[in-house]
Amino acid sequence: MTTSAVNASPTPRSRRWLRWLVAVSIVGVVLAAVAWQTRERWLAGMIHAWVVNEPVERADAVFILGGGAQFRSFEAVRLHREGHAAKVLFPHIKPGPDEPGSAVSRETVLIGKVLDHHTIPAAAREEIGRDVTSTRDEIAALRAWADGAQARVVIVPTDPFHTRRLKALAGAHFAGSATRVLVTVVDPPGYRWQEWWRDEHGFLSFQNELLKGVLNAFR
Amino acid sequence: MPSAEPARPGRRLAILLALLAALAAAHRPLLRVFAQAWIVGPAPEAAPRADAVVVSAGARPEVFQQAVELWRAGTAPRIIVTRYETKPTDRAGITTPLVEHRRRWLDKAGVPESAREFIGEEIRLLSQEMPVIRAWAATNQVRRLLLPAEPFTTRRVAWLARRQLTPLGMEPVTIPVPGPHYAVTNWWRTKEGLLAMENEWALLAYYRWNH
Repeated sequence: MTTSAVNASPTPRSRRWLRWLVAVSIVGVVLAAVAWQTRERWLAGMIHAWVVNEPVERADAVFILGGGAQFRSFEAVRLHREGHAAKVLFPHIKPGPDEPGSAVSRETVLIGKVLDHHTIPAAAREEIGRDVTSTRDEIAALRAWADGAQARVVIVPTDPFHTRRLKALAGAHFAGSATRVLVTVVDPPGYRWQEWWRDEHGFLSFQNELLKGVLNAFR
Repeated sequence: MPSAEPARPGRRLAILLALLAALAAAHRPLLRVFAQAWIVGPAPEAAPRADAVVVSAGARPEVFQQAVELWRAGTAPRIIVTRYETKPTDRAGITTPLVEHRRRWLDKAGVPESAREFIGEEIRLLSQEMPVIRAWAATNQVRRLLLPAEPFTTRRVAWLARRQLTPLGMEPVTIPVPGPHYAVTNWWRTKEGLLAMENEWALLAYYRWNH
């Protein structure tokens, strides 16, 4: 009985471990509480650090990326109307599997309709590329257009979390080019990018962008 | 008594590697079973009789069609459509709002006015849709509702529906409706399937945290 009681008592080594465990737990709880209390500040700080939002200057063109007819095309119209961009460019997107028999995707057609609606003249708009399927294809098409037009500056508005990847992609594709690509932020429908965590679409966009970053790192 | 000999690190590593190899070899059935366990609700053909089938105007076409099929089969006598948000191009008069598209769809499918109802306004998220469904169901003495949804979304829909409808004595039943973009049996092999599953993990966590 006495022997087993002696054997059960903690050794100095295990006592030391226990003290460490308690200390680390207390620090962890305090850090978690501070993080929770200040979450709005650091979540907002995080997006400001992540997002690339370059100041707009007079450009040769503004480029509407596919998948954003509902917001990027309206922003492109605004930039054109305010005299920031002489021309509006948009991609010829390959029709999806649910668009059999179409020569071009519904998205490209919709962008064209938005430009029609805002009476952007034919001379001030241009469809570029052919059957693009990704941002990479779109940026390659933009580079080809910029080289041909000897463009000095091109503006590409996009949703907040996409800006960083887009800037890196543009940097890689426009290496050695005289054209500068300015990436700017435009609010997606439904939420303000500065408050992304309040909306589930904002939250989803953020984690999808992280996921794509991880996947791209392994390619 | 001599103390037990400590396990050698080499042996532990071998066990770990064998476990990983077994997991890699069996990943297909494991991922398939996981997906089946994640999905909540009976197949459409096994759906129980209900007072109404509720679907968002913004639902994918196959989900909306399934709601019509459930009505046609007599499983639910009414189709309730929640009004999805209008897009900027709708507001500009460039495109026709989805709600109008769905109204025409119901006309074409022969669903009479008496068997359909549009509820809510400018609904963009499931979290906005469920209170609208609850308010409608409470004033219409509804006991059981069918909620068709994409397969991986059913868990989140079922969770929120249980939380908001069950306390009022209603029985929400989610109906998984497979789509053309990925198959539940090999979801991990396509980008769409992977994204759908991962997005639902994230959204379920977000919903549990926020709602």
